[in-house]
Amino acid sequence: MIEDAIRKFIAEELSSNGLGESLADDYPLLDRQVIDSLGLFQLVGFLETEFGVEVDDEELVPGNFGTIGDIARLVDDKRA
Amino acid sequence: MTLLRQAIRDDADAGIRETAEFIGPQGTSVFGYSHLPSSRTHGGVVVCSPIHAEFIRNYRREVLIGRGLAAAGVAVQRFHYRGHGNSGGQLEDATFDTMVEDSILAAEHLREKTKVTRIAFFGTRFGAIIAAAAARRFGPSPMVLWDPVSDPVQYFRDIVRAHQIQTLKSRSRGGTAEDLFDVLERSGSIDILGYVITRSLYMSAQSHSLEEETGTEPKPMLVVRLGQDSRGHRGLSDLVDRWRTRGFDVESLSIGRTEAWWFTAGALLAKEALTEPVDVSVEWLIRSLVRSEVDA
Repeated sequence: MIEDAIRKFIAEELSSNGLGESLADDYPLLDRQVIDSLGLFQLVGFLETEFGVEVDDEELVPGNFGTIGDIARLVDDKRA
Repeated sequence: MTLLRQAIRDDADAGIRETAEFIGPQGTSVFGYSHLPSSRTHGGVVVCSPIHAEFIRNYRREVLIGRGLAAAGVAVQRFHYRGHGNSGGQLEDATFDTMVEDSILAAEHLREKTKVTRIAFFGTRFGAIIAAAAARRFGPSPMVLWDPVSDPVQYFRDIVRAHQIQTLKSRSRGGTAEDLFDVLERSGSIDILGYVITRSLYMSAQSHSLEEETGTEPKPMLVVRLGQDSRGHRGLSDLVDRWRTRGFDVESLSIGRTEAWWFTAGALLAKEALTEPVDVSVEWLIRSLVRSEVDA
């Protein structure tokens, strides 16, 4: 599942507060500051490499990166 | 009143002399910093720095490159492009061509000062294209390129992406990438995470590429990717292949994890990220310069 791969990446690479593995799909990543700027940069790189999609500048908006569910939806839409 | 244009530091233990000075005409003088061996000199290296956040990120590594090479008998010239750092001139006056001119000035200054005949170039990020353009004036000069920017257009897009990501993180409202480029072209500059990007540099760099600036004359090259494959590395592997096809002797390697040039300017570099690329590059440059001295 896309959500699980994203959750695993956040847990292992980005999150320093121990929340990673237990993050629900609708947990507010930006509002709760789970990921910092460097983390977002790395997350976008991960999505592009892992799922073979290209994230456009215009897609870097909270609606696409607010939660794991949002990110998975973005990837899903781009792969469709 | 005497104008002091030079300050010297001798490090007897390391066997090097370091000189800070201004090179070139007053007004647009370039700030230079040389690391010279106190014993026999086997050649010289000109360091073409990156710019903006990347300049700060790489600064310490360049100092270590200078000291490491000088201790091994290679003279090194570091410098600041005009309009940048301690150099004269205004930021708005700095273009792709003036940066190449400054690099050539630094190389000629090093040659005059040390009488070395072999000059290698070391360039990081945007400094890699500048190094490649300057190196062409010095024959088949060895080159070390760290995370080279192969396409300036993409380079500026990636800088704007850093801004977009920061905007996303803070959940503030920001313009699109196209909006920012429009502002840049209309007003002459934009502020990206506290660094000023000028229209003069942006416009002047558009028509250049690393491949074109490297030319067709084969030369030894070391290409170091700081981090695993990333957006910034796209196309670089293909370029390395094309260089090899044309007879360039290219070594290519990746070191460490992601080097996020625009997001960690204030953070300390991990020890391995600091020293590993430096050690590899110093060793390669010594080998190349001493080998070319023997061949000559």
